Amino acid sequence: MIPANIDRQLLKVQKPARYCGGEMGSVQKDREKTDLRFAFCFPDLYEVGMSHLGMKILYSLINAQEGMWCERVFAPDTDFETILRREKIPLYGLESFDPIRDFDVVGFTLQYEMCYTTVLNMLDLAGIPVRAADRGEEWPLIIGGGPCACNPEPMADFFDLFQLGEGEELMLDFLALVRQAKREGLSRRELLRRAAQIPGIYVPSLYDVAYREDGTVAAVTPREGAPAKVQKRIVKDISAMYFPENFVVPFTEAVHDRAMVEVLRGCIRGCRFCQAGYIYRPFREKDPEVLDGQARTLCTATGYEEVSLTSLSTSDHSRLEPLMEEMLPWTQQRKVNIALPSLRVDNFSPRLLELVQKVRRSGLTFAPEAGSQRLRDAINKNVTEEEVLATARTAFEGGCTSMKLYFMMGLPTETMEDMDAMLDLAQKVVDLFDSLPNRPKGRGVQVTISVACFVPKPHTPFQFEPQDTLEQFREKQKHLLETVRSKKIRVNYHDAATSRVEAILARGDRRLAPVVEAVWRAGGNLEGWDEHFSPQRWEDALSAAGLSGDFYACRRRDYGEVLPWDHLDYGLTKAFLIREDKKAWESVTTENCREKCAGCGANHLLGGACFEAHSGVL
Amino acid sequence: MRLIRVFFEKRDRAKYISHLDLTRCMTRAFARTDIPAWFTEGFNPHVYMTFALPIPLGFEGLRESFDFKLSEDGYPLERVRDQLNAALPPDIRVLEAAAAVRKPEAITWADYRITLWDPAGGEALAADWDRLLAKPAIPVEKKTKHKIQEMDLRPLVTQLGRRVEAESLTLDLRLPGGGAMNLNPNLLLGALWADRGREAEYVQVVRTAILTGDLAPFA
Ligand code: B12
Ligand code: SF4
Repeated sequence: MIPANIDRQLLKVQKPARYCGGEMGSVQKDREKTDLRFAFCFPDLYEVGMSHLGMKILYSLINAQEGMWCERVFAPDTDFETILRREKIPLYGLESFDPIRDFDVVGFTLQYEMCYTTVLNMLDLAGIPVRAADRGEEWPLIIGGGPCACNPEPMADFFDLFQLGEGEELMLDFLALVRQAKREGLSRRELLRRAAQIPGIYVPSLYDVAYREDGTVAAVTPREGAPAKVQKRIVKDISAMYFPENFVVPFTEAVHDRAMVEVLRGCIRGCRFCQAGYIYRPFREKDPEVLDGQARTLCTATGYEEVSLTSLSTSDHSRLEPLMEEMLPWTQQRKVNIALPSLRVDNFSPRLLELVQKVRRSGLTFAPEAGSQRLRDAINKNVTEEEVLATARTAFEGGCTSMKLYFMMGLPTETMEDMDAMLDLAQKVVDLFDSLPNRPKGRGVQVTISVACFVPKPHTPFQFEPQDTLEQFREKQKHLLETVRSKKIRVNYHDAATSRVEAILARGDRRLAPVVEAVWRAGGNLEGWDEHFSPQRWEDALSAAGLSGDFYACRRRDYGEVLPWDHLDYGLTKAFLIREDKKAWESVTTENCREKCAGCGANHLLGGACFEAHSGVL
Repeated sequence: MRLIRVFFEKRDRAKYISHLDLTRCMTRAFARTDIPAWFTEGFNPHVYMTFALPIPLGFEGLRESFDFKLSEDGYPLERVRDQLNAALPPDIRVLEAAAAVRKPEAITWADYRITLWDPAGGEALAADWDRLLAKPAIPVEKKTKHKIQEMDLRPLVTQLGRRVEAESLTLDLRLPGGGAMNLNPNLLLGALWADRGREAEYVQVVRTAILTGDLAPFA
């Protein structure tokens, strides 16, 4: 039952279904029979968070444990937030409506830096003091995980601990400790000390950070027996790894409202700008039989009409063809559509291409990321102009009249010629269309180039590189707009200010915690949404703290510098990252992991070679 | 092929889902069962389903209905009910699946139980309501797709019951429902707010019955 005080408010807000749960697949448990309550918080709106596979995995995993009850919590939109504050309704779990401040553990997934202020806002809405140091024994443990935990330093003051890497095994180790601590009545301090001994758990309060006069980190020193380096956890055999048999199926539509199976983890490609390509290493595939079974189970349990084969690069699965052969008959019979995001068509066999074309119907997009071959080599984006044009030709001949090309600006080594090359490439696509005798008649072609601002991220070869300044970004954007001549080419770009804040936080240190807090106190919340983002709030908070945004965003790091995240080990050696950065400046590419091991170090997480063909080589 | 009418209730958490969301929820519920439901043909085949009188977001319904077609005539109707119940969230319950008797056009009335709460108290609410009902006419503007239409609600409202409590007023009303003429209680409540100068703090609307012209439950 919805409690009356909440029920009374729901008709006053947009999309009340976001705030009352009760969906198919949501888990109800008996309060009396649970001894561990977990609030899984996604610091963004319901429709965004309900698309996150990581949440679905951990939700089901925790709820599969006897006596543990995991609930979902999303950020309320501003209309509901106003009501929650006015009516003094503390933030609650969607399953029980109980206030999450009474739970044992409150966990936030950190997917995107621009959600940091939302984390603080959610804690505050829950009535929980935002700073870890202000929380006594009576408060829940506040923990974090997800990709941004690879440098959580700007959020270190607010969290009790972070879980680095994959959660399927680590979460259970952690929850066993929480249970034991409750039983034995351990103090929070003691619990954290013991948690720090679990591989993959980073307890920031057990590390002292000293800075040099120039603002760089002098040293990070562990205390109370905490390890000098915390190594992220992975699951070695992902075919045997836990995977949910059911999802919560939202009533109101989510961004991705479909079944998902994760076909592989990691990525063999090594695009030098892509954080996910590094922090999720090493590459591991799930067996086709396992995937087929998981997809069937999920479709049966959820009734979804679409199943997505997700990963960072689905076409790199070595047995995609047998998987598709296995899945096509039953999905077609059950009228389930197969979605294939993240496809590269260059390595397809004709049969696989045929299988894929049976299910593929989404619009045509391609991500060359850079305009010139030279720059593509520098960022190790293994796409050639011929591939772009060949894909465009197939699509146009199939009746398509538009194409979207994704690029980045501000990449290391970039020049204005590289910018011009983006437009040249777009023009070549237009010319190709016009030259086709069998092109779709009647309509002209529309090529959209979408240009994002590059954000250097930790644990990538470009972690040492400066980001362009706002002025540089804006000049480049202006140049693009001025040089585009054809009406058949449309240029989309995003304001650079968001990317700058992202860059500051991505490579930030602990001195940014008061800045994040100040921005939140000044009203920062849901800042991933343009309408809620204000760059001025960040600039103000930075200068009030005596810090410079340029120091974090636009500074080149010396290879010898101690980086704020150097004590967090994602399996990659710094020597490898330096090697890759140097190769970028020489426009030299690196083979993908399947062709040749580049020696990044991540194989040590497996305890052997990443690919059988390489064993014995290392 | 048999036309089957499914009667269900939609309560508590499920009252906040829109008609579109309810349709999607039912579609997926069918996909979780092995009920041999007939699919529409064409580019995007889906379970054929029609709702006789869609229920607005925010209302509970005690006996709502939709129709679908069984492609296997002999499939037991209790199984339809039980399978759907296993496949639906707890706050949507199928009460019965039966062969459709009347045509959806036969729907003429809908009964609602409306409860209003206000710090002013039940007596004051009742006084406001009685004053509205005592008027010779309750003119409102009804927006349709193309135009704004003036209409008088007074002759459309039948009061079946009225209960006053300390903080609340509960009304049982019969209003026109169906394709020919449909009065959404929110329109009537809007007139009440306009007349008393403000909204009640909290309103609950439950559609208790859907009736045909002869006042029989829609079957
Ligand atoms: C699905 C998806 C979406 C969905 C759903 C939202 C989401 N964040 O998942 C949609 C389409 C809405 C979306 C939107 C956006 N996305 Co997105 N998205 C993804 C994608 C493809 C998969 C995420 C996922 O489910 N992974 C699989 C799970 C299993 O992995 P995981 O999340 O890491 O979870 C594991 C562990 O990290 C850990 N864990 C995770 N959370 C927690 C929490 C706790 C407490 C603990 C202990 C452990 C833990 O356990 C999990 C199991 O092992 C990733 C790319 C990728 N393949 O990873 C990008 C990615 C997360 N998105 C990204 C971006 C940039 C965006 C957008 C900003 C795009 C935009 N411009 O609008 C928005 C931001 C929205 C937001 N607030 O997150 C970036 C984030 C980069 C960054 N860190 O800054 C990524 C990494 C893509 C990329 N290559 O750059 N995205
Ligand atoms: S160890 Fe070699 S094969 Fe494995 S992820 Fe690193 S570079 Fe690729």
